[in-house]
Amino acid sequence: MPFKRILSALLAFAVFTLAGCASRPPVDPKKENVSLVFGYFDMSDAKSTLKWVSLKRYATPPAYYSLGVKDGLFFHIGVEPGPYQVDTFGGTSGLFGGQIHEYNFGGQGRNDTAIRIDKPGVYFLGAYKYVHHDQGLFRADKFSMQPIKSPSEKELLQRVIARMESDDELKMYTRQIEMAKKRLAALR
Amino acid sequence: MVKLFLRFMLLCSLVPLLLAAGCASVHRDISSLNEVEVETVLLVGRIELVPRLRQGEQNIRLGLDPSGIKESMVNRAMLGLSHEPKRVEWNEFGGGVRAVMNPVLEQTFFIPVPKGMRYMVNGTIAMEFSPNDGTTLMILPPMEFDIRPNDKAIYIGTLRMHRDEFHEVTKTEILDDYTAASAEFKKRFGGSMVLRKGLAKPLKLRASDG
Repeated sequence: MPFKRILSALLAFAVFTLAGCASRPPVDPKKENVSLVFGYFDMSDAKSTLKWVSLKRYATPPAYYSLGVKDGLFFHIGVEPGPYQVDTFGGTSGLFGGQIHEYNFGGQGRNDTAIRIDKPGVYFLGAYKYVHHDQGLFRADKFSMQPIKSPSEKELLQRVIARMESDDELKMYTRQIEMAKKRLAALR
Repeated sequence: MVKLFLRFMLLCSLVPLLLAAGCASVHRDISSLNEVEVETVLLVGRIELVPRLRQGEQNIRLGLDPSGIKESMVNRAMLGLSHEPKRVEWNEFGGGVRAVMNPVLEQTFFIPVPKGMRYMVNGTIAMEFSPNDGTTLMILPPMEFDIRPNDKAIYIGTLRMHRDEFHEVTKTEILDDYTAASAEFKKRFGGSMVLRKGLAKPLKLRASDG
């Protein structure tokens, strides 16, 4: 049991670091080459909630962005140009959220969330549902992330804009909010 | 916790020495025909990536590495072989894989394998490997080698894989560079052994194959 606690603590530290709390400086609101990237995971079929999503830039060396999550919606307002896809995501379970779960979206080649950001803009990674695949007693269970049509890109973008406009730390990113509104107008 | 376990399994699955100690044997280039054992056949070919690996592109970070795991990954491929055509997951080097070829990329390889290992059932090139990451480029299997009972050495071709920025293989070609490979073969081993041309072929599995 103590070993499990140590591992949980180490993982929690890793998650904290990955989440950008310990390393990545805030995005400069004046920075013009960065994009707004967003997506959605429905984790109702999973053992855990969704607490973090890690977006990976395929470069040498690779770079990772931790995307803020709320109610399945995740986004980042300062993603630089490059090829990206969701790498890992995770959350917690248990009475006090003491058990940490981490999932790999699929890093063996291109996965469904793959995008290439060539110029600043608004990029949608898609909406997916976590689907659990029971493998029986003697094999590790599997999961898949299946694309879903609802909520739509439009609905999710509306939520992103509402969140940014109401959040004291995000409302300063007026360029990103404007880009999001333009994209929303194009989706109507 | 689940992922930690999976990573540990991944590490185990890729350790050549563990493989050697378990069900599968690891095979690398030889420099002398004296190293070719009875009941083995020398496979000659080449693995190419388009674009080639850039300097430092493989991000292999291991701490203590007494078994030389890193060496088996850097600028090398891992090709899982079996005596039967079957579906084997990319990270499954246990029951489904009976031998592993570990050729250096972008140069002609000369690797002896047991004659029964005529099917390449999985293949990977490690792109990132650490306790926190396990990204691989998947070589598109399965393939069949035309190994015949009297073969001593066969040329299986150049497996050229085109890839995108996500390490996804977008196109695979099997090219015939027999003339150049044969010249290298003679230079390395002399003219005492015949190098027969038997290009590898992509294999279509039926639903019942594993």
